[in-house]
Amino acid sequence: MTTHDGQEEYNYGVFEGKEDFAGFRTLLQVGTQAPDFTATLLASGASVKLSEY
Amino acid sequence: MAREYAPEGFTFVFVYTREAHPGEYYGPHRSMEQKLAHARAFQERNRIERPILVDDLAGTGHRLYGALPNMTYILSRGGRILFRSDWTDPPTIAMYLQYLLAVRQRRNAGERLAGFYTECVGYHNVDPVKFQQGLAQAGPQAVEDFARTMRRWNSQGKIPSRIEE
Repeated sequence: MTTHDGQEEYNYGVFEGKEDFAGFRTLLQVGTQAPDFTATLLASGASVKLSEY
Repeated sequence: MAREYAPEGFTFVFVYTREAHPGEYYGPHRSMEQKLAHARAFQERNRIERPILVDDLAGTGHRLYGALPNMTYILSRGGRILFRSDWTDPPTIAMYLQYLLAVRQRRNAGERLAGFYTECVGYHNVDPVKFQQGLAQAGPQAVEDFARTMRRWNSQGKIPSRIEE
C-alpha cells in the first residue's frame, strides 16, 4: 500500500527528470508474465483489470 | 494504428498515469476525480479512440511497469511480455506487430518456431517545437521546469532517456 507521502512523491509537483531509465531495462523481462493491475475504464468508470484486455 | 491492426486480433490500450510535466493548468493529481477529469481532457484533445485505463492515484500499475512517462509494452494473448520499450514510437511498434504477423504466417505454413531473447536500440522522432507546445498546455511552470532540468542534463553531458550512437 502506498502511503500518502508516497502518493505525493509519485504525483510530484515539479518535474526534475528523476525517472529511472536505466532501472527500466532490468525491471521486467520479456518472456515473463506481465503483472496484472486494476484500473478505471475512462469510458464507463468501471473497475477493470489489465488482463481483461 | 489501433484501427489498422484490430482485424488482425491486436488490442490497443492506453494506460493513463501521472502528469509527467505538471503545470498551472494541469497540476499533479490529488484526487481520482481530478485524474479522471484530466484523462477526459487528454482523450478529447488527442482524439483517442482506444480504451483508456486510468491507473489509481498511487500509480500502482505505472510503477509495476517501470514508471516511465512514455513506455510501450506488447503482450501475448496469454499475458507474456513480448516487447517492451522505454519510449513509444509508432514505426517501431508497427515493425514488431508486422514481425508477429509474419510469425503467425510461418506457423500456419507448418514451420516450427521457438521464442528467443533479443535486444535492440529504437529510434523516435524528436520535435522540440511540438514538445514545447505540449509542455505549454500544462502551463508555464511545466515549460520552466523542463528547461531547468534540460540545463542540468546538458551540464552533465547526458539525457537519461537517450542512447547515444
